[in-house]
Amino acid sequence: MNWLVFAFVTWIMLGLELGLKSSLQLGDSSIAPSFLAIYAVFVATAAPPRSSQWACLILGALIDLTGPVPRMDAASSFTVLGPNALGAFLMCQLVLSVRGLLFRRNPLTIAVLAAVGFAIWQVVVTAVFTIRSFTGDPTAWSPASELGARLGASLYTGLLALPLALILLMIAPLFAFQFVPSRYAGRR
Amino acid sequence: MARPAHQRTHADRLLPAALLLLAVISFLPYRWLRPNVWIGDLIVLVSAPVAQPLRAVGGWLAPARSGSAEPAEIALLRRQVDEYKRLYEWARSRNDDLLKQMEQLRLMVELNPSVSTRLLYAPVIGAGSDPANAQLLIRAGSRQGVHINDVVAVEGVQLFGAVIDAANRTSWIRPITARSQGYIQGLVMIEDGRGVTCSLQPVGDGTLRGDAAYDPQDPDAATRIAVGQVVRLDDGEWPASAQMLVLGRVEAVEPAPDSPLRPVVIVRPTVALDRVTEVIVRVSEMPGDDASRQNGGTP
Repeated sequence: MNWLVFAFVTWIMLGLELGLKSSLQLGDSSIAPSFLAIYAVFVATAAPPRSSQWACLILGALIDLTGPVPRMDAASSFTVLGPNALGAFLMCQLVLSVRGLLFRRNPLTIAVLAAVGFAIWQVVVTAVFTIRSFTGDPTAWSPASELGARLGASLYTGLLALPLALILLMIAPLFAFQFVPSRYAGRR
Repeated sequence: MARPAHQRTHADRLLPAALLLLAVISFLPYRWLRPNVWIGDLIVLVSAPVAQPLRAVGGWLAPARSGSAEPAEIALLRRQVDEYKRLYEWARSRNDDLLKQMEQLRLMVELNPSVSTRLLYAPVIGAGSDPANAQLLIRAGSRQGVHINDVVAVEGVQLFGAVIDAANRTSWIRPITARSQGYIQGLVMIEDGRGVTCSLQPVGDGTLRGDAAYDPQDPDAATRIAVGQVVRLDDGEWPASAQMLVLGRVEAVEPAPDSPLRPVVIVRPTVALDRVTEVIVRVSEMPGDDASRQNGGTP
């Protein structure tokens, strides 16, 4: 995998995530799609397993680091590195386990995987922040409403994945993905 | 088939370590996560050339509305406004409590102006395991000048009891309604400031019970005891600073089975002593000012 191309597209996707996400919110709710999640699913469907795992970890960590959590007891916030990275890794494992059965160059595949994978990702994030809220984080964290909004965001992400996957699949050759199944990896 | 161990790359070995590290960082206390903010700010700065124009495009596509769908910064400020409103209400309520405490302290000082005592407000932080004795633990100890036998009151002039054990930072206090308290001499205030002496003993149900004394100079005094009258402490065994504090109010008057001229009074403190959350300890400024102390008496 060409990591330079990955870094460049990550930069673009992060810009989309930070610049467009709030504009794409559904009405007054906090339901919004994630560009980085779609990108993570795209990479996980095509890149070699180890590269996919590292890429998903990096993309998850970027979401963590650019998403500060507001504190209720002071005019400041804090940033937790880990929940999204771990969620992205779990999503990657899901995609890796099923991608052999799917048509990976079909946008619909990426859309469905984005919806399902991002839902699992968000379950991990919700679980981590819920545990943190029990241990005294000064946040107004409501697990039920958060999970509801995040699962809604997963569906929205799946919808957005359809057009975005078309673009990503067009530039896929630039990534130089050379998927080698793990059973052959040892013979190289 | 899994790759043999000797063929594993650095990336293979590093991944579990990275996962473990992320799992640990996920649960670190928020106070230790300050560096994450700096790294996050740097990443946002790097992505700004893409994010900024896209945000402008997004603002054009979906302009900011006056409704509740507001930017995250405004939402954060709004939450902080709500939080400060809550703090303001809390401070106002606390202020009211403090004013009430000041009034209670003033009443206590007025009751015994000649006795040199310092009034110490102490929260109750625990209770003894034996409910019959209902001893309470307060957060004030010898460091604050609390000694054994210091008088404890609640709500200004209601006598709670006395300190029975004083450690450095905490003390055990025993209420007058504890069975282990023994007899207490009180005055039932009948009228014109006159009182009828009575010898009260804790029953164990939160009340004190005892016979009213017969006064040969005023034989009818005992018959004028009525429900609701205030009973005050008048006991030489207790320190001077405790005298005339309120023991309670007469809850019932019953005829003594063996002596009709000496009615039995049942007195209930004005507050449930086993449920108080704060008390006032009357710390003696001069340890030798109380006769009971000099004589080694115990209230």
